[in-house]
Amino acid sequence: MSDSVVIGINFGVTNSSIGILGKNGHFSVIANADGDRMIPNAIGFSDEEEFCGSQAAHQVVRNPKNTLQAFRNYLGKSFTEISVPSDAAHPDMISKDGAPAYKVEFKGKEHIVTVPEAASKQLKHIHEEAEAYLGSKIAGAVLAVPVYFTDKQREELRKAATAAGINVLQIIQEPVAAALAYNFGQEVAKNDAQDKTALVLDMGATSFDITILNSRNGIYTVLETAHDVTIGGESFDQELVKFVAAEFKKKTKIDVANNKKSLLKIKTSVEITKKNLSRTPNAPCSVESVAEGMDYHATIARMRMELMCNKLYAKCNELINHVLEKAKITAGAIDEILLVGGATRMPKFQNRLRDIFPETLIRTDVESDEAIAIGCAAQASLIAGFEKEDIEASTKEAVTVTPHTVKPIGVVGSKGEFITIIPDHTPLPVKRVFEFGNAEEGQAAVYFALFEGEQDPLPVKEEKPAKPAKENDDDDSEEEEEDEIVVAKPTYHQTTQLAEVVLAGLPAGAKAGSLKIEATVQVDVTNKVTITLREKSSGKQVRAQSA
Amino acid sequence: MVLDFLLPSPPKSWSADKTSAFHAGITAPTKAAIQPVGRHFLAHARRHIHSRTFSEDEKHVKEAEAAAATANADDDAGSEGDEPEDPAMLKRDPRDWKNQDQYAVLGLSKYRYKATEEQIRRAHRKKVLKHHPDKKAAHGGLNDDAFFKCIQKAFETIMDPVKRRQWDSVDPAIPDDVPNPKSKQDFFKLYTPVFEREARFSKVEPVPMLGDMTTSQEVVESFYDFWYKFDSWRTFEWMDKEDAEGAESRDDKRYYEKKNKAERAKLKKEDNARLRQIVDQALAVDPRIKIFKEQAHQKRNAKRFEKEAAEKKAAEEAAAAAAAAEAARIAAEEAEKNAREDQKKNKELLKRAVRKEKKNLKALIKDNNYFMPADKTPSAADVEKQLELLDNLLEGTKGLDQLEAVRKALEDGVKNGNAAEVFSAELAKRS
Ligand SMILES: Nc1ncnc2c1ncn2[C@@H]1O[C@H](COP(=O)(O)OP(=O)(O)O)[C@@H](O)[C@H]1O
Ligand SMILES: [Mg+2]
Repeated sequence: MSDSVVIGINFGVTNSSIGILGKNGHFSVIANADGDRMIPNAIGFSDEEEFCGSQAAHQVVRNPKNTLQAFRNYLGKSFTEISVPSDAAHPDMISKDGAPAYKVEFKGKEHIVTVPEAASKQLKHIHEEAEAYLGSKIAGAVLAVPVYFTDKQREELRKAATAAGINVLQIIQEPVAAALAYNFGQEVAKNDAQDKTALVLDMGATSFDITILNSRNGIYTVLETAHDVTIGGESFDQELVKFVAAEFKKKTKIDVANNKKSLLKIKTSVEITKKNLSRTPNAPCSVESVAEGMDYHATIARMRMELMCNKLYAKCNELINHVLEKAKITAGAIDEILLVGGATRMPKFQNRLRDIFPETLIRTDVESDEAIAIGCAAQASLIAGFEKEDIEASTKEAVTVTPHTVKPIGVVGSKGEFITIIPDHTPLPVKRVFEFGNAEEGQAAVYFALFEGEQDPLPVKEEKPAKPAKENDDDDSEEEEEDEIVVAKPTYHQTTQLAEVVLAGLPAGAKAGSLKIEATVQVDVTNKVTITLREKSSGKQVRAQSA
Repeated sequence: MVLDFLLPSPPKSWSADKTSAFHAGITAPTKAAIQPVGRHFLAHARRHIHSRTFSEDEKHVKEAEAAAATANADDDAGSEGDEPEDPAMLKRDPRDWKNQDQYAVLGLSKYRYKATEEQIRRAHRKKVLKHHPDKKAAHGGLNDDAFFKCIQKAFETIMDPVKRRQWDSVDPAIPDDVPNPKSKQDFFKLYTPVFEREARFSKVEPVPMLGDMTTSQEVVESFYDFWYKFDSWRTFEWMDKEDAEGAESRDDKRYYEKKNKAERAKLKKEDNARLRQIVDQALAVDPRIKIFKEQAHQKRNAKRFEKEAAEKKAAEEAAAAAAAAEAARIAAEEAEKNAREDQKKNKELLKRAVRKEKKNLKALIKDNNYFMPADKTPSAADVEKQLELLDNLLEGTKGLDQLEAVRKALEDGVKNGNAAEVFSAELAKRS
């Protein structure tokens, strides 16, 4: 193969997945040799060998003390920063030079595995699975991390991946990767200011991450983010575990509430039940030999689970509301909701979103737990041919932290309304081209004035806003809004006049409708404003630049 | 964006010689982070890094896009030879021309074995114009004709049909790998390009292609048939290790030629095996073949099912008959049993009636002075004797009817007062 093959890796807490660009030009997640697309992040040690992924996850009930999981949570943290459950269902952890490390038994001997080593082993495993599938060497990979990852955590992941033999092209943020996978806000009409806002909801096993992401002409900015490690797929598992333990006690009089091994067994089974309940209204739950050789077999109804998890669903919505408030964004201002992570598959979770977002488009056209890997793969293929220095240069702060406009720039319409051409908070440099309707018959010169604007105070929440006198940047989608849900998109009024330009000497005797004036407004990184007016049929133009 | 209002004429106060006036700068921008992902970001980064203005960048992008379009447009006439030149290629040593990418040197990487003579000529002309040593010298470059020689060698090779086939046979830019048999990729996506590329070696044309799920069984079968009998012109002269032409003596030459020939034959054999493996693999995983097999299987089974159904029906009928027979047998047994029981009951009744009759007779004899003359009181011995006689009589009397008759006679005797006589008479008659 002459082409360099690159992949995207979603190295999550619970699972990893591999995104590739298929021969058909579509990105997809591939399965490992065990047929799993979600490869469990697990490393198992036994008397004979060490294994990773699906195989290791299978031994967790049998051998929990020597099965490492969720190590990503400890990455880049010191031993004192983490809380390690010390019980029969979790491997022992010690401090090695201040960093957390696992103490396991391997081939009958004590064996220390540091957290970065564990991460590295798993990443190596994933990399090998990918190479086996693709049948070729992999030239590089893009990885993703949560928004809240510190530089130290990122660095440690990069090191672990490099140690695993992976050529790390770039480490990007999970919600951003997901947005790429959903192709959110990437279809941009040239020269048109287009703003879109997405709410990225990512619920994995041990965390619920919320990010509000803005796309302006395809460039993403994180507006707000929050996460809660007390909500996640596992909290739902725990409710089910409690339920099954209680039922089991009712039937057998055996109390397993303090039996960690039994609880682990139940957890493994109820997780399967939970996943099935996302598809079917009833699902079986079977736990072999829960305790004292007694089995548990039952069917659990989705409704039952939803009832016992009611508080958790409510908590999800609370967090969403909290983030919206923090960002000072109304629910109506969210254009799309992007679902990420396995646990957002729960139907009730999705239904409850409607309590906050009655109308908003909820995107489910990408498998939620595959979105990150696919986004990473998309980014990887975008920069595949680049030199390392180019990638570094493009991700340097000088480029990613750029000047943004503070106030919107626009023109004043025929009714005195402010029309935004370059919205506030647009990265510089920026350029917009737009056209004006026909000039009047016999008009020999046109006059163009550019203004800066300011946002009108937002309407008070409960009240219906006064007739939206001024439009925001997109001019067609606005009118059809329902009265019921107040979509409080901010409106603007002009403040400062920036410039005036006149294009004279238009073709004499032009009929109405035959003249088309195209205006170009550019602002470069040094704030210099350039205005060009051009009459399209004659090519007559004037160009003016600020000092 | 189209704004549907008219730009007014300049205000009266506007002086005619003025075209613009700037009044204020924009509010000082803030710095904020953007996410370094996606193609739009890349455009931004480009502008930033190369500190290009928008128009400059646009120009660049347009050029790049045009280049990309050229690269993509396979049949865009006149674009051959325009592809970017790899700097490493430009530095090649022409003496090593055998190992150069003949197509890349001519700027025909996109066309390769598909390049037409017309395209080759056009590309060659362009390259010559660009790299002619005289021209380079005129532009102040070194008088370096190395790459020009490479171009000429490539042109010679590609224009000679025999040499071109030799080169095309081993063109390293076209993969000749066997797809990974464990690949989970869609069968058609995986194998269609493989067969398309292998088809170029066919002596026979047209070469049937893989088709899709809707291709008929006949066509699919003839496809595999063709490919199993594939007649390939692929040759391996290009890989010759020994330069027989340059050999010193005729003996050496012959020796090298032999060696080369053997090597070629070996490679050819391997190549045939390679193609065979591709076809084998494709056949093994072709989802259509599975369907055809399934269909054939079902057809074959249809007869068996019919037979089995008939057998099953017969068996069922036999079973029903057996069940009926069994029922009849049970019924008959029942009847017989009932009959036996009836008989037994009757016998019992008869016995009882006989016993009763005998009792009656015994009572009769007792009640009637033991059938002794009325004036005589029977002694114990008499009684004994009379009863013995009665026993004898009863012994001699067979069946209920006779007993009844005896009793009647004796009763009559009792009535008529001649019981003793009747008794003796009966005794005489029956014992
Ligand atoms: N179909 C499903 N329905 C409900 N929960 C699911 C489903 N599929 C996966 N999950 C849950 O999602 C979690 C894993 O999601 P994932 O995004 O892979 O996690 P992480 O980001 O922690 O690696 C697990 O708790 C799992 O039980
Ligand atoms: Mg995750």
